[in-house]
Amino acid sequence: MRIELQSVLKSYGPVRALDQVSLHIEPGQIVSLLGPNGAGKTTLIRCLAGIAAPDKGTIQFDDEELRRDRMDLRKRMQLLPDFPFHFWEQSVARNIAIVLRLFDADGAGTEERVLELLRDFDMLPLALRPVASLSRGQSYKAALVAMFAADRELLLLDEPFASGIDPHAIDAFKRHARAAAGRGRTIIYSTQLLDVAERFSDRVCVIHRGELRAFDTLDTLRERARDKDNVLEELFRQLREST
Amino acid sequence: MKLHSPTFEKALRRRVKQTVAASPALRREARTVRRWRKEYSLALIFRVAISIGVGALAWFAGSKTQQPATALAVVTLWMFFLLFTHAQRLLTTLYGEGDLSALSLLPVTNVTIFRWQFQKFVRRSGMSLLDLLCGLSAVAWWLGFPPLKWLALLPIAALAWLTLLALAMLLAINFPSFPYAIVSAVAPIIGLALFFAREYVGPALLATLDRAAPHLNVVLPVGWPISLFQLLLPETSWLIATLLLPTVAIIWTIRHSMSRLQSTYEFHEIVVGEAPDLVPEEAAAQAAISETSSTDQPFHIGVTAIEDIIRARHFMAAPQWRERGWFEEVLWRWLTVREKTLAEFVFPDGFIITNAWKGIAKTFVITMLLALVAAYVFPMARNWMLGIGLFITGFQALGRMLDAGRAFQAILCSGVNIPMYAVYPIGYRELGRLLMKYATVQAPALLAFTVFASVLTAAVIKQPVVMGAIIGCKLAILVVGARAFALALSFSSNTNDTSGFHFHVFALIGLIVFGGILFLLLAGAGLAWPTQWIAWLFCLAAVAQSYAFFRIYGWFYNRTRFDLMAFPRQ
Repeated sequence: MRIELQSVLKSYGPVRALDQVSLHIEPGQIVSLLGPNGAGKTTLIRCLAGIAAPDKGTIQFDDEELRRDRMDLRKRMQLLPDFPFHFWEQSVARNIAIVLRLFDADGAGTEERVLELLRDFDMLPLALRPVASLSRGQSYKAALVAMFAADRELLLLDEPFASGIDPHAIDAFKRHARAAAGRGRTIIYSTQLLDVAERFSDRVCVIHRGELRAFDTLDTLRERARDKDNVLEELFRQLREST
Repeated sequence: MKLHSPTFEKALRRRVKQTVAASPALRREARTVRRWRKEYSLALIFRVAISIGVGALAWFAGSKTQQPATALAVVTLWMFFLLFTHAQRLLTTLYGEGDLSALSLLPVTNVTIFRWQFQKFVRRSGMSLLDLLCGLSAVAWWLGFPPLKWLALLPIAALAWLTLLALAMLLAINFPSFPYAIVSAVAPIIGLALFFAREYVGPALLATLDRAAPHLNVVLPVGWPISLFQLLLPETSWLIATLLLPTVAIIWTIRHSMSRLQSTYEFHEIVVGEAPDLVPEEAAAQAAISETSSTDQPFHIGVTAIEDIIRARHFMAAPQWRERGWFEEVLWRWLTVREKTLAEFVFPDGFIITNAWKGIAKTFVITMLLALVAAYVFPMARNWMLGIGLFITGFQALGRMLDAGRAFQAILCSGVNIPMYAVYPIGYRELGRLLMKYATVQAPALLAFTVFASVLTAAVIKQPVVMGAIIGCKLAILVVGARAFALALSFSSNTNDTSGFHFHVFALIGLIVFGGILFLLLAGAGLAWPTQWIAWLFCLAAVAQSYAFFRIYGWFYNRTRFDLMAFPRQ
């Protein structure tokens, strides 16, 4: 899915959360959103998911404008907020089934994919437990299983590395995300962990006070940086000094 | 026990102020944030205006009828309304507030979280004390009380406030599933409609209130402490003082209610068994055996069995709610495949329609029987029994019709409330259509209820029974028709569609206000002339207008004119 943002502006009262943000993201990429707290990362993700309405500007998927009644476009993407939305009394498996059906992704062969994902995320023994009985990390893993099982073209994740998932699940997440990108899926996630962003993204998008400060591959950013080993740290230092 | 340190907070606040004052950039930022806070200040001013309004209404009723009991009945009625809002608020604060999930992650006990949430409820209920003070002060002013008697208002208001809290707690404990939110939403609409129609219905309403006031203050428990006000009047029967006993008894229950609420206050269980939705029958039977055995360990299914369940797609099987009753069967047959998927999202535990209506019918029959018995033993109580029965069952029926399951439930997410449906690809019209079908399928039960209730009311107030039946039919049509309007408002909740200074915001506010008034006018006209055919046209026009409102709001929704999220109220 090709994503195009043109001069997107979004304000909350006097606070400008996104200020004339323009972006072009080709399919099959992993994009990390970086920026200080309150920079506008989550707002950008919400705008892409259709939850937040831009005050100005347009968001296009494959040259078609995103609107809430464009169910065909909305079914091609999935958002995973920092606190996943679950049906707490239902089992993990039932939650996955509901999500798959909502995305019309419950066709033949889904069960094998779900089984594989449950195994990979160490969730198989918990598959019939109510989500309410799980820890935060486990409930997030359940949401990740549902997300990868639905296999949408655009995956939007808000702070997946601050979700309490264990190192094994982080590894599984990275593997599945990389495989999804290989199939042409686009993954956009926000994070505060610079070393994770440095190793696990094709492009880095830096936002500061609602403005897009950088959107490039790490190699390009490295070429511009003085400290080649700590590209993102240097970028953040510059942001801080500029304010 | 406190979740915070006041001394630390005070020191921190002082230091922050000093730092902000020292930096021009921070001062600028602080000024913009202060502008943002104006919304909350306006809400406070609006709430104080309501308190003054209650006082003004009590003063008006007293001066018009020259009866202190009538003026006090206004305060009693207001407290009766607040009882439902408080019960709803208590349930929401304790069990449904967005920050509960975050609080449960803190290293504090559930008891601490309970106390924290409970004191939030008490603090938020503080404005009802102001309502009481304004109402009682208005009556005292109208009666020209000497200064000494004014002092007595404080303990009366305090007693009434504590009674209100105690009753709200009792309701929340004993009737947690009563549709309090609907009472809270519908009562102001009725109030607003009566306000606009005061020219026509005002005198009759005042006369009715005047007649009912002495009973109202005694029948409704919220009126007991308020009735103590009459002890301050000359030539009052000291029998009224006996109302102090049940008042104190109600207040006495607060302690017990608190411990009951606290004992059921659990966010999560650390170790639980399998969810019952997917466990095969043989395994469930084995679970039952293991639960009756001496071990405390919950039953769990092995990994191989889970693999079999997943591989056989049992977890993807469509739920079988149709077996639950006739209404469920009809609805399930009516829904499309997509709507069945949405139904599973909106009602993850399944529809419960038939049993719910059976429950309403049972409550209705019991109150009618009680009224029948009362008619022989204590004739005056008959109408009150009927009134209370119709009030409870009427709102239960309305609750059934407006039920939206989990569809509009909001989750706190990065500082904002986001409704669940917004995160998934769920369309405005498809979700609306499902909930409309859900309401329409219940129409026969609603029709039976409204016709029976209207016929009964007509018989009691000595009006033609046929007229009662016609009004009952129209009421059922209007309630089903109003569902579309209510749906749009449900979508509107937890959005920011009416905040900010944009053209579309003013257009939406105008649409909601105009649409609401027009619906009430058309519905009122439809009910006002029960036997004339043109009144049916008004009813149909109200239904059409409600649907048109749903579609127009949908236009704004679908064109992404506002956010599907709202900042939580402080």
